[in-house]
Amino acid sequence: MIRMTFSVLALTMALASNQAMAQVARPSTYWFGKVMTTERSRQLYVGLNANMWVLYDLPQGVLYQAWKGGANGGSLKSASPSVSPGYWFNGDPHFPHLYVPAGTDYFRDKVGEFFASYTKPADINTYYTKWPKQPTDYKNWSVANGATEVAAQMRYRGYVVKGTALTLNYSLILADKSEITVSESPEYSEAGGKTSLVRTFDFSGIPTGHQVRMAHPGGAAAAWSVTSGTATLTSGVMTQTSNGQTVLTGSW
Amino acid sequence: MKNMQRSAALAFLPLALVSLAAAQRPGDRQNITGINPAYSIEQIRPSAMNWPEGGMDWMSDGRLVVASWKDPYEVFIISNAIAGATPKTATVTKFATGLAEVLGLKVVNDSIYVLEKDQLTLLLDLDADGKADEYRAIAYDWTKSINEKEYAVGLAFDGTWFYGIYGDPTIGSGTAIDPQPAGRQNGTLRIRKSDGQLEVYTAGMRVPGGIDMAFGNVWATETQGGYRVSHALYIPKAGRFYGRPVNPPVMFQPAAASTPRSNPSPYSSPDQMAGIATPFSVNIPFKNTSKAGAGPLGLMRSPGNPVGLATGPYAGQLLIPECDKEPNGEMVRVFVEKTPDGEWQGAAFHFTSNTVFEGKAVFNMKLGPDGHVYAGGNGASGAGWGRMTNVGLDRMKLTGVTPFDILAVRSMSSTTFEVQFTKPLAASLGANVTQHLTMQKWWDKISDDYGCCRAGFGSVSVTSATVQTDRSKVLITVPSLTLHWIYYLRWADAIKSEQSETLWGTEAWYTLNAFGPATSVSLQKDVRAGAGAEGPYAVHRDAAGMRVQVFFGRGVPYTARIADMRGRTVASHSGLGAEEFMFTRGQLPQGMHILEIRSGNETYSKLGLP
Repeated sequence: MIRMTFSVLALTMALASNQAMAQVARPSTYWFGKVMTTERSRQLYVGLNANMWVLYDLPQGVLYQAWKGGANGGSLKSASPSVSPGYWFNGDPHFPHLYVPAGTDYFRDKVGEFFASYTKPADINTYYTKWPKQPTDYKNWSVANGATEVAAQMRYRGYVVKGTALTLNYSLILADKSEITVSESPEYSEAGGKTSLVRTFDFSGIPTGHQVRMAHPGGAAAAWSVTSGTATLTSGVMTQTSNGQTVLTGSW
Repeated sequence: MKNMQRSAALAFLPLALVSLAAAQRPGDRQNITGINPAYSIEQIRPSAMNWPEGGMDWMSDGRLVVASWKDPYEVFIISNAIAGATPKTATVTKFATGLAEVLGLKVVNDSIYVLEKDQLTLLLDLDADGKADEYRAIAYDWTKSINEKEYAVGLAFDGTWFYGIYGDPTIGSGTAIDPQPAGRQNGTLRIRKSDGQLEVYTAGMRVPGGIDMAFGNVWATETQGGYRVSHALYIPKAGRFYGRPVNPPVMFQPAAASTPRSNPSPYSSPDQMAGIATPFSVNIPFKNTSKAGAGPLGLMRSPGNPVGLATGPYAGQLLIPECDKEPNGEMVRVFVEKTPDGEWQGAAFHFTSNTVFEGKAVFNMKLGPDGHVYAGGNGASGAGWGRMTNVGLDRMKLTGVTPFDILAVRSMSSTTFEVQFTKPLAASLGANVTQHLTMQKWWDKISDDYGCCRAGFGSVSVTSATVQTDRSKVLITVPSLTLHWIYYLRWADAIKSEQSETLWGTEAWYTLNAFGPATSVSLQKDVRAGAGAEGPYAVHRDAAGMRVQVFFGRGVPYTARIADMRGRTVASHSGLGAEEFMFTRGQLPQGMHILEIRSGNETYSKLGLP
């Protein structure tokens, strides 16, 4: 256990260097990309290793699926409800498709669908009378002042790719328009002989006395531990109370 | 009821056929089969550009940034040799990858913005290695489901806002999904460049064609289909509804625009329809009339991105590419004029066959740094956006030839049109050419019936068609014209120029929404298209000097200056909002010079020729 923690820390230190991150081999030429899944658009897959593919829901800022996949981590099927799967594969350059992760899941969570901010709530209920219902009132990120949750608008800011390292950026915009910024860099690890996903978070702009909470680290809470930094992990909720870096590691 | 209307329309058909029984050839009730003589077309695609084009724009150093419409969706940069003498030798370098169905790309001050289906993204090369490092999300506040359609097409930029056009979710026969994804706005959205603030701008769009700035305005096209008898061209205006209803209703969709489920055919007259849905500036006729009903064949199957022509015999007009591969498709030319009530209307004409382009279909056209028109290939046969397979990049150059053609059709009053030709008519025709003109009319009665139908089709009795003094214009008088109808004009081959040339295209389709004469505005830009960002302005030169129109928002301050080639200011002007001003001939340098307009943090520079 001690040895594993040391190895994870060593990896964490390596992750702090973009140079080191750029050396990591990825399982596919197209190791990251925007996709639609069978449930939502605005998803980003990242192939960290043949043993570790992950899917992020970008507007919600949540990593909700990790799996051991094949060469491309998944298969594709037509995105057209009126067309049988496979129709778009006749050599055509453009085939709107759904990305279907293939392999063995480490976890796969349900996520709320993103609707435009001007959507009428009643229209969401109407929509779900016909289309597969997703969790409503879903929230991964929140901010509290002391024990009281405060208004914070989640904004996905995009991602940065340096070599083969990918970092996602988010903002939590408070009522006074100040912003808490959160970045996350995922990486694969086999330290200690365990298949692990190492998520390195960097926080800035957290006001004194405030906490940033991430409700859904992914799958079972027991798989996760804080391996570096000051965050706490309670019943699967990660709480960060100060600016700086936290590393969350999940093992399977 | 619908069958009765169609039967009534067909009853006019024999009369129409009799009146149109004269010669028929390409450009005369047949699609054009060649290249408009005003242009030559050169296939310039480097072999490494082996994918359909999904958006393109120019960097200030002459490089061309192009998005691929192919999975995985990527952005490439083509070296500036593409605008030179040996364009096929240009190198093609991948800049970004893993994007989401890009159909819009805009370069602003050498920063590359792409409109993904789900997001407006700024691609940044932070370490200057030629590849994007940061995929910065500028805006994504629109609903995007997993349906095949819901296209997002762009990008127009007016100096402050990006404009994209967003289709509704459609399956099967073209009816919008009911209920549609909650919050999905079918229309124009605009996004402020400075902070990513998104505004819902218009409603009622079906399948977007293309959108771009031309002559200081944002122009958008839409494709024929449900609630579209013709293709549509218009300037999206804030809060407007353009006729395609969905359920639940979107923002700006009036209650009177019944949803397909409650009433699939809600319109009984053109006036009633115009009271609910904003009329299009120009209805561009669909290439066949199998669904539309009676009347002449049309021009194209799927419109792409409009481009404004700055030079040549058609300067001040728009070209709209055909992004469908069908052999009878045409790139269409459009003349527009501003009506006294501040709207726009105009006419569509034959221009050039689609088959002359390498890809047999063109999605985007952009003016290059050399002033030529660059056309990106994309399109397939009858497949809409779903399976666009055609690859090509072509350069259209002016030949110096002015073909004998219908240059413009203008509304002059409630009983008159003026037709202008590119050249004077032969003297032998005399002053009365009434017998050589055929006119018909109908209105596009939009409904949920896909592509249906022209209503009220009939012939128009021409009282007179009188050649004007300069012999390039003809004043047409009819007993009365009716608003919100489409007027079709066809000249017989007896109409010839002084050099005995026959018309390149004999037909014109005019959309009449207001009686003229039009408001006088300058549409002609004679400053050569500079590289990089287009600005919210238009320039016209004449003997008095350089007249500049700016189109900033009300109260927005700006400055303009003329600089010589060493950057020294030789004349300047400052003002607020949208207005027109003049740099006189005496203020302008003798040689090449630069027009620079600044507003806020934006600077627009154009190289000017003396």
